[in-house]
Amino acid sequence: MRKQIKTWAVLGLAAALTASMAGCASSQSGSSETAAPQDPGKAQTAETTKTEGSEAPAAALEGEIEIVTNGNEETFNAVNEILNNFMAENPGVTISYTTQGSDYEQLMKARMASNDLPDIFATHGWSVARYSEYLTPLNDQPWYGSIEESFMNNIANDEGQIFVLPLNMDIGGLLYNKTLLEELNAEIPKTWDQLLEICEMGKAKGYTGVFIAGKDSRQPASLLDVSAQTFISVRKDADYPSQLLDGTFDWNNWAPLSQFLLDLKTKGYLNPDCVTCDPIDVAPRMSENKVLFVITSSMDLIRQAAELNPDAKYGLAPVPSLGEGYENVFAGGEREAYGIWKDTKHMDICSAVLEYLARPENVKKVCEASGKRSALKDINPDLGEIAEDYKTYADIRICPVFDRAYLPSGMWSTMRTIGSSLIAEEMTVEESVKTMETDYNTLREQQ
Amino acid sequence: MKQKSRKGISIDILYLPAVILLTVFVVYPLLSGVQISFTNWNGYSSTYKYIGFANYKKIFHDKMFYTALKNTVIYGVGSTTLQTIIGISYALLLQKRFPGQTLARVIIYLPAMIASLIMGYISYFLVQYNHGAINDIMIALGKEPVDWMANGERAVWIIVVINALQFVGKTMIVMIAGLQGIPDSYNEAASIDGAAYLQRLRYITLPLLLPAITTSVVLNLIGGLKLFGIILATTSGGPGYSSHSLSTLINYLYFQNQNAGYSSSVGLFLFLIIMILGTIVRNFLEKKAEGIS
Amino acid sequence: MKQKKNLKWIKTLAALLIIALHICPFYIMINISLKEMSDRSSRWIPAFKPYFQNYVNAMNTGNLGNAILNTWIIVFFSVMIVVVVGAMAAYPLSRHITRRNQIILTFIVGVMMVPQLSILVPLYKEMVALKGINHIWGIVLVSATFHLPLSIYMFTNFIKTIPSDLDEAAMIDGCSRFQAFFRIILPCLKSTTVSVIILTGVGIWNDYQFQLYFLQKPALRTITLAITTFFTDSRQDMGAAAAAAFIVVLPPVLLYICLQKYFVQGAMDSAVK
Repeated sequence: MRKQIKTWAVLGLAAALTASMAGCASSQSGSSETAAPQDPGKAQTAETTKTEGSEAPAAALEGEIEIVTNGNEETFNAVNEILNNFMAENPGVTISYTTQGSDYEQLMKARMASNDLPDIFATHGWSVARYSEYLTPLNDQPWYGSIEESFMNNIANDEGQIFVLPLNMDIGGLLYNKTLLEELNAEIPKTWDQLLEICEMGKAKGYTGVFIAGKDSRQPASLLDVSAQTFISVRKDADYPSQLLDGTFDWNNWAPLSQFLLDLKTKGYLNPDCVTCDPIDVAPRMSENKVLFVITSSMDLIRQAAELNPDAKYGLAPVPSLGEGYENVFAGGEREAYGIWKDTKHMDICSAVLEYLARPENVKKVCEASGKRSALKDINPDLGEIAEDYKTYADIRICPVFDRAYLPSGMWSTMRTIGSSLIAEEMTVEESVKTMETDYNTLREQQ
Repeated sequence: MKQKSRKGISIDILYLPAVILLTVFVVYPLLSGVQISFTNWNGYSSTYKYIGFANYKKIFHDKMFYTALKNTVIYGVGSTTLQTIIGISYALLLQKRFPGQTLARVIIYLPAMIASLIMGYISYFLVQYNHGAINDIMIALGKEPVDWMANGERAVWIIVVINALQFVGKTMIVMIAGLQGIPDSYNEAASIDGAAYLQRLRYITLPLLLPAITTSVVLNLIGGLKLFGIILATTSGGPGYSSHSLSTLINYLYFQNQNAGYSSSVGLFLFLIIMILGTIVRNFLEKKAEGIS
Repeated sequence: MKQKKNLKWIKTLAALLIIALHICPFYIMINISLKEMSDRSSRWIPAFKPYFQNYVNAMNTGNLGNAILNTWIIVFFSVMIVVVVGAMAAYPLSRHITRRNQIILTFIVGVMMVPQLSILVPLYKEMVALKGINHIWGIVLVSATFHLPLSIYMFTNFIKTIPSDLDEAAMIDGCSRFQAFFRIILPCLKSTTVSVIILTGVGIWNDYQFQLYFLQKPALRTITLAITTFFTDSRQDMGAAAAAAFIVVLPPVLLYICLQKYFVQGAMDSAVK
């Protein structure tokens, strides 16, 4: 019996061995082919064989490029479709297009450290502060003129140079539940005080005032980031932005914002699991029609909640202000934006791809798939219900995303820590201010 | 005795491939890490400054570091203790045949086959506040639901339990193997002498299990001190930074806080801790085991 | 006699309780994977109308078939290296005990304690220089190296228990040290090899960090990479996530159920001694 088992085991192992040898042989040839651009010698052989086969005209684009993004599924699919069309029109070009989700920033940092970047990559709002060192200036591109003027300050550096093609933009503001506001007989809040009042009314009925999925600390940070627009950026009484930029900002002025977040928590306006809820759960919870507000820049939540429950109707409003006479604004920055690596071996293909992406019908496709506004002029995508809200607030100013515009790169993680610690009540307002100040100074040093 | 090979080449060359691999893929990067720890590098830029021992000095008055250090010790020692106690109990229960024994062994070991990141995600479905499986039971029993992971200290202990339960099967198997190595005659002799079960356990079984315990404690300790996946999947180090281990802190400092230099120095610190704790425990247990045999 | 029978029943009962405890997470996971997202009922309630679309979504969007194949290839070659290089290294380290070799053994065991994360970026830079990113051989070498210490540790422990008379006798018969190793020692290592294969195989199968950095092309994605994409913010589909988790958990679980005996055998032969 024992012996038999052994024989079978040996036979099985041998079979597995041969099978995987075969599998390996094919896979290895596969991988060396796809990796061709890293090895100039091999790339050439691959190219010559291709030209012979396809009889492409001499001027046609040839080669393989890598494009990487952290876009969500809808955006990814839309862009992927466009890139497939591009490849159909340019048979000599192969594009490998991937999305890396929440690991994207880590991966890109490792790749920057090794100067081994994708030919084209998404810059998620950091084209200037973080990536510009590795990007090609794109002011000479044919689509340069069609970028919305008001949007330029998001993507241009001090010299007015831009490094990305922005497709659509994130709008940060206040999501409110239309049905519940009606039920509470409340207006859309224009000031933070009004918002807190409505939260109090909702609390009596068992509704969550403001929803945060804080297991991912990006969520509380995003709330701080959006709220900072009216708490700090657009104050009529002080010029905090330029103080933040030149380093003279008194960090005690941050305290009201931390206090606001802490108040939401201590007054019981947040969802009870605000610290531990996973972002995967935001739309389902919104669809239960018990959430009054979400302060966020993910407008897609409106659509996702409606898909799960058609009766969950949410609308978009500007960020509430500090009081009468203060300005309401939206926060806005590029969402899907692509830049070209300065050391790419296929500059011709890369600029052709961006040019193709920038065609109005393609930009429209991306905007409609993601439900986000266009960053280029005269696109007029059909954004469904949210288009009404955009129209209503057409006169409201869209200000650049707070941390990207006024804080050194790396502060986002500090905002994540303090936001998450505040709602967990593991940090006092003073400590949060201190942490912001310390990290701000350290990170300014690095630059 | 015959320490040298008879024919020219020493057999020592047999370990050459291993040493080369380890040098290229572990030692060299580790040394580069040491170099990075003396800089203020942000982790991606091509420019940085050497700042001497500043990163090491910072370690000693960094609240976040102390929290992570404390948690790392809890993760390591806590889950090792739990795993050893539960593992031995399971092994004692499941060493002899009875209906259900095989199935129990299989089920207990199963989670150890799963990536801890995935196990973390599965656990999240249990400890979640809204619709979490445990809270559904609480509600069914008429109690208030609890937001399990909202309190940092509790979250740390819940992670310890999750980790221990995931890998308790490994400990159990090692212990079963150890138990099977103990000749029946020992226990029979003792039971004829009238020794009660607990006494036999204390004076015969456990001492003879020591070699098995040593192996599993050392491996579990190293695993627990390096704990990463489960934390990432259940709390991501939160709330705030209260459930970070040194591993997740390194990750956070490097990739999010853009403090690669400081992250490297914390990494080296973690290496030292594991090295020291691992060696101490191993020597201690091995001495004890030698004392017995 | 009767008491013994009672004891058996108590044991079975205890075992059943333990089984119930340990199976909970899996039950919940399978339940979630069979429910529609809009189904907000308790997760303990079985999915009466199973929604298999989740599995279809998981297979399609995650491209899991390809991921499983990639993982097998990586595990197979890494384990080969771990076993061969490990067994080779263990022989001199356990038989030819000099001061230098003791230092080397301590060094190797010490490497077991290096946290992957603390060397990740320097290692990544090195791999870029070696052109090993996005190649199977790159991840195979790195995974193998990180599991080598465990394998060497286990093999040395085991070889130490083989009486050295055995290979000395062989050498008196005219074998060289090398021949003694290949002819006498290697055949004795079978059971240890099985447990090394299992331990390192499972470890590499479940690795995440290295695979994330060294395999960035979708065509090379492994199962841990494929499954985490379901949990990142790019998707909001818990059902498909749970389904994907179930699909990738299945192969190692089946493997374990089939090879159960060898797990215990392996643990007994190596770890304990």
